[in-house]
Amino acid sequence: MNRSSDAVEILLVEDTPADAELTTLALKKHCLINNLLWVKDGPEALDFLFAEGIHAGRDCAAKPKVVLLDLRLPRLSGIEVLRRIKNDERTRSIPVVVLTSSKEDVDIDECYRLGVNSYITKPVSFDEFVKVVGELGLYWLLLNKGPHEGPKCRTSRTS
Amino acid sequence: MTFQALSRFLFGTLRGRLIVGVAAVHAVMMTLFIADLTDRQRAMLLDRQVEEATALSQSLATSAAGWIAADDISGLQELVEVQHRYPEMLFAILVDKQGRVLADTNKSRLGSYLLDLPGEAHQTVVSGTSALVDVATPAMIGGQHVGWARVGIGQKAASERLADITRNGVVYALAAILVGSVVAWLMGRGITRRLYAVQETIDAVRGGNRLARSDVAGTDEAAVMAREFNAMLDALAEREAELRSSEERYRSLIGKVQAAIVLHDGQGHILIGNPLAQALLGLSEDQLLGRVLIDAKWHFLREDGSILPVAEYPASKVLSTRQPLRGYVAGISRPDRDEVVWVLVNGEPEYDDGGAIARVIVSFVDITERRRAEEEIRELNQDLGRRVAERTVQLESANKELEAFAYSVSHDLRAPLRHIDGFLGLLEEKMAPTLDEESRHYMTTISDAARRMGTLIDDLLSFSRMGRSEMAKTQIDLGTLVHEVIRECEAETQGRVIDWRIAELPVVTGDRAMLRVVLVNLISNALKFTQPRPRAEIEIGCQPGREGETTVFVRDNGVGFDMKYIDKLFGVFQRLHGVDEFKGTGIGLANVRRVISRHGGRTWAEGKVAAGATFYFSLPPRSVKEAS
Repeated sequence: MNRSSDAVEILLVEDTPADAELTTLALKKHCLINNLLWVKDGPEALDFLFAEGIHAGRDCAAKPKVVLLDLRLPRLSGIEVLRRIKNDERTRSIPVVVLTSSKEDVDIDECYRLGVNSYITKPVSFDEFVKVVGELGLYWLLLNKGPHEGPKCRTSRTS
Repeated sequence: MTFQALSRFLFGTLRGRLIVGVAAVHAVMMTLFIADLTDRQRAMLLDRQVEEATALSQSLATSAAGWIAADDISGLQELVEVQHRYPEMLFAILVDKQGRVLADTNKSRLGSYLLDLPGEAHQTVVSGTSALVDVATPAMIGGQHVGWARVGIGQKAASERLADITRNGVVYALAAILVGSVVAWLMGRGITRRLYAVQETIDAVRGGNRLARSDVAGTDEAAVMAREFNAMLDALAEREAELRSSEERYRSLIGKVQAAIVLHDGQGHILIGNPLAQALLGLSEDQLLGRVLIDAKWHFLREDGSILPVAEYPASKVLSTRQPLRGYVAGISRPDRDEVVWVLVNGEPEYDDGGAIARVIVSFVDITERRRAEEEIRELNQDLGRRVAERTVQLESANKELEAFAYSVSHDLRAPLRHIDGFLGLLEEKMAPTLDEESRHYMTTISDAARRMGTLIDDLLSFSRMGRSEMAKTQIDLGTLVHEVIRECEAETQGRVIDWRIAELPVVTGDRAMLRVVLVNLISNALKFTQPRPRAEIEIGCQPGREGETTVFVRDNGVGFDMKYIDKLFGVFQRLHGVDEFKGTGIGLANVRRVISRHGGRTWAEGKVAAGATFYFSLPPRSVKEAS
């Protein structure tokens, strides 16, 4: 699934392959699959964004249009990844959409505090999931002109 | 001294006074009587003497008148001599008009002249004393004054009689005095003997015989006095008995009371210390009495163990502040004991009429054991506190685990379901052209099951949250909240005929979000189970509950339930109807019960199959405020 890192538009941070596949498929249904990079954990996501580690040498200025971030990640939690992104000048402007399994999640408040742009509660129903991911993807990838002129909008979606 | 002795003899006793009194009265009376008697006798005798002298001189003058005129001297002398036969006669004289003595019983005066004759020719008493009554009567012949007859009469015999009378009077008087005195003595003896009887009783009582009583019969004053005196002795005996019993009561009280009592005077000196006080303070009664300070080795201690100065001793404190001392805790450090005795001290002042402190009563109760017990309790409490803290830490960690568990459930259990549904959908998409009706049904069933499980997980989590989340208590107007919830339900009630009957509801203290869950569940249940009714009736009201609780109920005319399943009604995932009949997971009423019980209230229900149901919840008094 790795494509040319220079052209990455969507960075999907997801440890569960099944979820990654479903997300990809949901995006595909809306023809939004262009240049998606799937990383399996937080450190790799940060390596990519800050052009470090295995991604060293990548042009750091080439930012993805959106980061889809699962909160439950091995090694480094989604919250921590979000904090690093939002605390760094270079990456602060990248829209981050948090994907969470439950609306009960205690981390949602923390996400908003850290400056998350949206979050999606992954519904059990695939149809609904496809619908929600489509709406969100459309917004961030198509309507959102670019990081700098993009509106800071918080959209909450629930099942 | 002699006079005094005499005076005491005569007047010292009632008897003496009586005798002297009676004798004196007799003496005075008799003297007056005799004096009067002799006086009257004397006057009577004089009157008779004058009468005799007058009559004699009259008769002599009449007899002598002719003789005088005839100047028959010898006849006259004879006439005079005849008069001598009268025993008391002192003299008889006949004189002529000029006063020359013509005849006289005393012949020596013949021829001399009498110069003291009256001027007028009237009968005259020349002298009227008892020694001599001298009467001169003019001798007249045919109205012619010719001379005088003068007769003098003495009183010798009468005087002797008078002296006899006087002498006899004195004798009678003395006899009367004697008899009177004897009678008085006898009477006095009679009276005073009765008085002496009383006196003897008095002496006996004084001598210690409390039972002695005077036995004086009769109705006279002495008897009355004796009876009064006996009554007085009885009253005194009774009073003394009362006093003795009061004294005994006091002694038994002071002696047996399980408190040490010390009585101080207004200067702080000890007047009384009861046996317990002696035991507590370790001092004998002799050591206590009259002391202010005990001895140098004996101390009162403050609670912190420091030595209490004498000025701050309980009695001193009451004396200086003039206020009662209550519930003061002090230690007593005695030279003969290592351990300090702890006492609870009370001091009460007693004021005299002038407002000065007359006495101070200080009582001590030994609280050493109690203090020890309190110390143990304190230690136990500390231990308990420590254990509670430990348990709290354990509980907190258990709670954290539970939270982690819930978190894990919400993420990890849902993920596979998502995957099942997701890939099932993809599979269905891919195989759609080849799938027969039966296979499609299987797939739908799998998908429905996965989604239902997702709902169950969500409900379980919400139930868990109701038990875990912290409560933010505020004032909540249940009426407003009910109307809010009903408005929210409008979407699902469209097209239905619903008769809402909502009474005035109270303002309560509680967690708004949680109580909202309660109302949402109860109201949506009522709506759900009245669906088959053409006209739903839902009543929400409030009624006073037991012990000041406020009870709120939601009543409907829905399908109701069988009371034999009442136990299941509020259980987690317990349902009384099939899923195809009424939707739901069976978590609603479990949440209601959990929220209400976290508020300290109760939940219950009444129902009947096909005849509606009523759900009640009560909130404890402190969480309810008067509905405005």
